[in-house]
Amino acid sequence: MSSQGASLSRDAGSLQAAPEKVPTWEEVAAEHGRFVYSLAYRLTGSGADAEDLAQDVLLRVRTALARYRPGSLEGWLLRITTNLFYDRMRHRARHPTEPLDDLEDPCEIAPSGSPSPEDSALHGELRFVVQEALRLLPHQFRVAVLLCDLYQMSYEEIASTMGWRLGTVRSRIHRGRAMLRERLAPYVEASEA
Amino acid sequence: MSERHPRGRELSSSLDGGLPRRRAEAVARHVETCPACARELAALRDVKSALASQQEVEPRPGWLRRVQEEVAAGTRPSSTSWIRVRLRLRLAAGIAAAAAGLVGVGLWLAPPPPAPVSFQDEVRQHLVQISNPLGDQTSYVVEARYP
Repeated sequence: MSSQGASLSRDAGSLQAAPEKVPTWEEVAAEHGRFVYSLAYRLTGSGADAEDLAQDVLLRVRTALARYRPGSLEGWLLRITTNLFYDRMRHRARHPTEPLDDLEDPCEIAPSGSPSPEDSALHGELRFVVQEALRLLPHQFRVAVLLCDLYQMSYEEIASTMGWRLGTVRSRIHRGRAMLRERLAPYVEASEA
Repeated sequence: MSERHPRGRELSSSLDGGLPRRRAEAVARHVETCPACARELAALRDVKSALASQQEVEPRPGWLRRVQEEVAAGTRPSSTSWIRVRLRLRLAAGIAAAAAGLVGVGLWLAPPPPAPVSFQDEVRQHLVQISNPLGDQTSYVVEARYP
């Protein structure tokens, strides 16, 4: 899997594919546990919080598998993960506390791909900067741009997954991108130079 | 230049195929002839590309196996956030107990509060002399000291 976006678009394609059998929890954890963790990391921006969220997602999957209808398994996991994350953020907004996590070590972001040697340093830095810029976005905008740009979901799919109106999806994606644009401008221009 | 400038979110949506066909065509025509909107669209496209190029993040080695083993064993995996919350609660309780102790010791060591002083005593403390040099009943000289 070269990227998460490719992963989900391939999975979305399986919506029209032949029906699959309902996997066991062990199969879901073994084959998709890293996908859930990676998504959780993008959403929370912290290794510890990502472990916590991904773990809770896997526990929820254990009881929810009985209701799973074969189709897009990663889409289903994505829905559970983003909704659980969103619930937590709403809970945190109602019961504000100090942030639990400090800035993480960039070394924790370990891409599974293998970039070419000549651009690995530049793109490695860009990946870290993008992750940091994402982490600083308000969570509604972060969810919107992640689902659209990284997981390549359509506006309708995002609206259905998050229970948002289409206009809200459109607005949050744009505002998220506009904020990211401000933060990433020096790096994007540098990488293009 | 054709038509009005599209809104920012229309430019964003045009990248995602999220506009109705006729509006998408109008935005595309406008961008072809408007350098400002073309720059804006290019910047938004760069952001989208930067996000799309993010790769999967690996968990710490052993994390997934630990979750699998604990779930298989029927024990709920420990939540790192809850551990941190519990530690914070313990720390807060410790600080509160220490503060209460300090207040208690302070009250015990502090001198007792002075007894209330009447108004007359207060006046007497400052009064030096009242005289009636003219001998009448309307002229008095009052000498008092002030702290």
